[in-house]
Amino acid sequence: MELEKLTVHKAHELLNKKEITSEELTKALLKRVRDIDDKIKAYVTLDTKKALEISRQIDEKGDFKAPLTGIPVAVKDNICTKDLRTTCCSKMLENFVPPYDATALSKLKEKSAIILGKTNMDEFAMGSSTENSFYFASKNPWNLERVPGGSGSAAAVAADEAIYSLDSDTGGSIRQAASYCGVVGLKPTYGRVSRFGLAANAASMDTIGPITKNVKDCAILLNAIAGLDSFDPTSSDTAVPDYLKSLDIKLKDVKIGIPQELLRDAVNEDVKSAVLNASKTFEDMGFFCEETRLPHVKYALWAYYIIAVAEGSSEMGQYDGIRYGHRAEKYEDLKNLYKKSRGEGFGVEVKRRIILGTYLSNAKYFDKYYLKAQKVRTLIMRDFEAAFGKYDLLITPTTPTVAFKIGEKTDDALKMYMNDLCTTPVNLAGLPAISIPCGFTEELPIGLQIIGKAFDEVGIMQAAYAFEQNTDYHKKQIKWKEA
Amino acid sequence: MDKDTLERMADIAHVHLYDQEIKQISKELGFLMEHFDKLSQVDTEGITPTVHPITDKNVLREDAVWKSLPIEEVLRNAPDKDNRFFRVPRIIEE
Repeated sequence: MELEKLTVHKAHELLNKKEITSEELTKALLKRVRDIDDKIKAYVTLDTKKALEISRQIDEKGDFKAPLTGIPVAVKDNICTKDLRTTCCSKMLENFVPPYDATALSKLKEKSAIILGKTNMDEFAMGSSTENSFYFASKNPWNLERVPGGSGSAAAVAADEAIYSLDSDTGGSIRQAASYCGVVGLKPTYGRVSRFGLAANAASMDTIGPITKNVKDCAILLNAIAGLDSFDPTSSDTAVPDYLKSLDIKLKDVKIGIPQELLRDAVNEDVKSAVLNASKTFEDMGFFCEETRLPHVKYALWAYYIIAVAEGSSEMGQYDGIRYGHRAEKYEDLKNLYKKSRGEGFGVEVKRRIILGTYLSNAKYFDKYYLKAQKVRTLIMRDFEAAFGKYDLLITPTTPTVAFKIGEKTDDALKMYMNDLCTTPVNLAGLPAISIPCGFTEELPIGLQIIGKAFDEVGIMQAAYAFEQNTDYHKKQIKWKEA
Repeated sequence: MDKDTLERMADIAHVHLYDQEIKQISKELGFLMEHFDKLSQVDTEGITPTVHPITDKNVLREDAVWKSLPIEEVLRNAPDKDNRFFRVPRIIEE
């Protein structure tokens, strides 16, 4: 049996029946990483020794009743892991070792999950391809010349280098990377999962969520990480249902809207037809689908970037070379220490966003750009509210195209930002959304985004699960193609 | 955005820019600003701005002493420290 190919629920079943041990499973994954990661480059840090040590301890205890016990996870490098280097893929934090765990991660540890290592990302999650990482660009397992999206962990999950991953999504990273790599990614409602211990990119839109091989695993993960946290005042006390149990409920009278604005010019024809095919699949399953409108969503990408750079430039203020992070070797005075340390520690995209964010939030332009973007944000949220008055769910492409070539968009920030066309409106409105595979073109996966009302993760996962049961896109195997 | 404005912003934000970065950033900011200007087409008269996607209640807590990290843990990642303190350059003139 190829243990690295297991899903969370299958691995749990085998561990619980004592047909495999956690050590065997952990070793199989570490071997896979050794064999293949020099091609994929998904990981920036591995915790081999500790992972094996903990797997043995768990085997000795022999209690595998909890669904994540003894199962290895990859963690995006902006989620704090106590005593394990967390760099945000920035030179600024190259040697940063957090003194505490992020809440979502400590919840996984409470269930005796095994941390395999930290995965690659764009510096401080600012980007859509991992090309802004201080270390290297990760590769898409479906085609090594292509990007995996903004999270190396989607590549890790797709290439069987991890059973699942814990990730973050500010403008689409979880969903877009899941879409590009043919796996499942869930961005929960803002406030559903604690952000404590997640290095902020844009605090009013950052969310933690899982990337998995199928929908059932997403439900298992959300069960584990959702809920109120006193360390995150923006976390919600909305009741946490049993997401896994709710998957099997038979769906009736589900109404789906397909926003026309997100199927327009910028969206590739093959992606468009895959989404329309998906709506036919839903209709065959007895769901009602029709076209709808979100009139202000065409402004979402720009409102998103204004807000993201304004918040981001302010978040980056904490990296001053004093309390943690990179400090320049030579400096004249305090201001010079700040300027040089930050100048050396940050890459060009982070600097671009700091400069732009500072510019847009200064008094002269505050009303014209930042305040305007916040008002447009209100209008976008109202569009969603109106749509959810008529429909239970909305479906869109996750990304306008399939994974693009490495280097193709690095010289053009505008083109790079366009990838986030369909995902950013969801972050502005704080809604939950999932990306699942819904087709292929040029032997690359296409992702379907299902958006729900706030805190209706049950609804989007039920629909995604039903879709998965009626299709086999998630079963397609990677044909390894050399770069 | 011209070079002077760019450098002024960099100075306000306390971040040094290398020559190559100035070229790269200023080249693209113009295009981006054109797109950002599209928002002026939207009628937002009387619309309340959204600062945060959830409009829940304010979270308050007792003003009580709570466990915190030991000092050596807090200082663990400091680039320069002395005993129980972060070391910084002199900030008050003699």
